[in-house]
Amino acid sequence: MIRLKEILLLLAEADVDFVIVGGTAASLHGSSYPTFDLDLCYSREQTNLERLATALRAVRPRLRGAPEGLPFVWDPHTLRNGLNFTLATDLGDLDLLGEITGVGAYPEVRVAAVDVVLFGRSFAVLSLDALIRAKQAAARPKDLLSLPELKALREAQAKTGES
Amino acid sequence: MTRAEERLLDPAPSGEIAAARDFGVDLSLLVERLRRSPEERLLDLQAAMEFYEQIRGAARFAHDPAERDPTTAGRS
Repeated sequence: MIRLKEILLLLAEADVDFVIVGGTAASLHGSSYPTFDLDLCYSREQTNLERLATALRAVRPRLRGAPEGLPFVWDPHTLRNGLNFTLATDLGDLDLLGEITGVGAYPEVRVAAVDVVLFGRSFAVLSLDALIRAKQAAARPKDLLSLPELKALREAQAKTGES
Repeated sequence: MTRAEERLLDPAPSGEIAAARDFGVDLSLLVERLRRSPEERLLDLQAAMEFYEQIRGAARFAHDPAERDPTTAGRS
């Protein structure tokens, strides 16, 4: 189980550039569906990879589901050579995504995000519009099941005059 | 009552909210969720995760004798 507050503040205090995506983003927008990990889209700028590697080192990231003893070095080089990482950490399960299907890489994801204040800090959260695009593009059964609720939330919160 | 609540409680007949209701989404849950701040929603999510972990632990306890009594772990 991920400890959401602790890991978000850990990354924010290290000035890591990331956007909250996936089920946690949906929940922040009002979704009633639960999720059990945290999905983040991260900037692949070199300085950000270094900050990310340093910040998470303290919570011992390892590849989730990998065989015991499989060598895994957590550093900026590993981040540079990969894109998406499904990690287990001492603070819970964390997915780091270099891009989001239907939205794009971090620069596009950041543009498609809204700023939300949590625990006294501002966090970038993928917008409802972009979440819907991502889930439509991913098109897995679990994504498609969540679409009616997300679209209802979008309509409910639309500014007057929008549908 | 906010505009969002009004829309959820009295959806436009051909809109996405009505479609979600017909799909089986419980709109009253969404009303309650939108009354909470984003931070409160995150804390609710955390509480749901913790509840799930407790349930999962209880299920393991119920089905695995070794979980009930660690002194018997590994005995057949």
